[in-house]
Amino acid sequence: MSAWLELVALEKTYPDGTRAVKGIDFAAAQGEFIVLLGPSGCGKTTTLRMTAGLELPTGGAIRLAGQDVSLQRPSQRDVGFVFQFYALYPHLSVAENLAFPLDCSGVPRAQRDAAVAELAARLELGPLLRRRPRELSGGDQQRVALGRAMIRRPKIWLMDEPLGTLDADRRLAMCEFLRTQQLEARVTTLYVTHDQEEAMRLADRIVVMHDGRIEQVGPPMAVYDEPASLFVAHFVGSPGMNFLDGTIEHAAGAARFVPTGGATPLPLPAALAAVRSGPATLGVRPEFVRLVAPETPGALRGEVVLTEYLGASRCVHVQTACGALVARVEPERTAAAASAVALAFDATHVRLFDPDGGARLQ
Amino acid sequence: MNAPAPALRITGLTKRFGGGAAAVTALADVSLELAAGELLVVLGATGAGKTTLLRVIAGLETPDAGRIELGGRDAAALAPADRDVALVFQNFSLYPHLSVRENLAFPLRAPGRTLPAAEIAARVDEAAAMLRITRLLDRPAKNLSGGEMQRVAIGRAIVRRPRLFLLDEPLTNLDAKLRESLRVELKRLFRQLGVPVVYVTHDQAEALSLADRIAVLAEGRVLQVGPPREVYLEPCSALVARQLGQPPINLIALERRGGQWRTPDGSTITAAAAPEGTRALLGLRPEQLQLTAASPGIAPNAASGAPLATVEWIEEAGPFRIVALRMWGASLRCTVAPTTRVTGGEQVAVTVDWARARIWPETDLRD
Repeated sequence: MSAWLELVALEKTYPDGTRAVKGIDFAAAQGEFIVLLGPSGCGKTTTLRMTAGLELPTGGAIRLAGQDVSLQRPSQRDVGFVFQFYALYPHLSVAENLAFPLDCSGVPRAQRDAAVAELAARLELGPLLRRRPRELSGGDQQRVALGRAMIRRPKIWLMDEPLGTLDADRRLAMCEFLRTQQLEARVTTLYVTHDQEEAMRLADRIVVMHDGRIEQVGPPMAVYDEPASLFVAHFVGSPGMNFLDGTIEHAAGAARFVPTGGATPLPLPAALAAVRSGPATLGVRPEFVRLVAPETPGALRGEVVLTEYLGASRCVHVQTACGALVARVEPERTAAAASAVALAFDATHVRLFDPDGGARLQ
Repeated sequence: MNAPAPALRITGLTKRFGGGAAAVTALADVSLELAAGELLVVLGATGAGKTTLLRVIAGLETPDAGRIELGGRDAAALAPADRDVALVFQNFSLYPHLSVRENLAFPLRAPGRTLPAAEIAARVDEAAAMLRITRLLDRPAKNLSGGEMQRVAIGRAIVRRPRLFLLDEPLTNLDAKLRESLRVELKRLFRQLGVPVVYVTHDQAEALSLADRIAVLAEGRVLQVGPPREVYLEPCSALVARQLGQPPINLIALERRGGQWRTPDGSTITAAAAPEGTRALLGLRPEQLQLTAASPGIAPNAASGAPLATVEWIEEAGPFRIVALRMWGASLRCTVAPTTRVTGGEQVAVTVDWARARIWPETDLRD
């Protein structure tokens, strides 16, 4: 598939010398839902704003639908920008609210009415079209606001944390709504967020950004299961991956991980037999850490710091000689604070990283 | 022996804003009690009355009715400054040009306080150590990250050693990742301090994780108060059930027809009888549904109790997958292990953990 959106060696350096985006390369296919994920200041919003034309790159190029748009004005690019939720116009009906962006861009009346009718059907708003916004439920108001922002079919939708101001419970429902609308319209979408959960739920592919660079690009499960770096392993997942410092050693054709702090060495699976020797950081997800009896041979001993009941699961935070770890267990599995426990995990679920630079070791 | 007075007791608290036809009731007959050292989370959507509740407790608003007792004393006679409560807001409100140390010491130098300099320094150091910001003490506040600023804001409350902490969505303005780690630190910190806390949030994970007890607030009313596990497993209404859990609980519309409870597609559910035409909601949490692949051509009959469903779509969520099912004429979500084999469009048999199913006499499904 040829690229619909291409960022080539894209750079942004501000006049004060701040390098917000440090030369990134990325391509999206037509219809893809791409999420730019990263913490505040990682360059994701600057990347989005350059794609929109709200800021100009200081290096590299942006190609959209086969055209170099790097220096074009926003209005020339045919992009649809979806910011955080706009308020609806209280004095206009739902139908008039939906038609508003089309009226502004001079779409002929018949075409406008057809688009509004079609959108209203998709939003299941038919009977509510004549009402004023205040007569709708909160959820319906948000569906109208988001639907209105998505009524045009530009070359690309650019979304800057559009769900950021919503309460957490509402946000998940709106995620689902947004994804359904995008799947139907098949408009290529670039979506910015710091929320890894939102990214997992929405993306065809996630672009994880850190410090102006791309750390990893991949489908949600690949990013979650096979993180390319320590940063990705920590940032994706709630809570993130657990880490243990140690050393990889080889003996008799097999590799093992010797944790710093005196815990029992962990034999590594055959797939990791060829991994390089030396200092390493071992990562394991909380759901693969098991709580076992304190005297279990080979298990990592520790003391429960606290537990978090989360409804469908429980997170047990344990302090060990090798550092603090979290185990995600059944909600009914209790563990009193300060009680002695031991942790065990299956070597097939461990990931190894280079502590110097954070790259994945395989 | 008399039981010690609760740290906070609220009885019949009502607060209205505006007058006449435009009056808005922000709090309606709220009663709550907080034991010594207890962390109570008030969970509710935007506009539920959470912030008003904190402001009334702090004395920044005067209630229209009801009584507040702090450690057994009627608070009505106490000015905000004399209530000895510390309020932490979601926007950090530090003095940007002062150092972290000066920001932390500021509340102790307020007019009327006469703490010796050595005592102030000791309290600042102690709070900084607890919040792990000792290395930041000499930096100007404006150079801190959002997470660091919020720690300092909480530190300013800690140094005062108030009798009660009131926290208003302290993590809301932070990045998701930071929120999650600070949540654990706050839990540890308040355990260590052993002071009573009223913590307001709209985030259900924060509520479940932090609370000794959760009070669910909606439209100014307390709907339920209880330990997290109790509110999660035994919600008193569909409205409460919907506030906790992620993905949210499935609510399926039921109607009593022909002497049976019927789902939207007419399937029957066995439950306590009700008059013909009664409507209700059946609540099933996503983890209560389990999938088994249905063999082509062989289907369980209705009596087997395993309804058939069509998989609409599947979403990855990391430690689990969310599967959207079409079943009983409704759209349901279930969570399965990431290793579960399931494909879109496929027919599956669904096993329901009926022991945890609940039915509520409500009908409103629209959010």
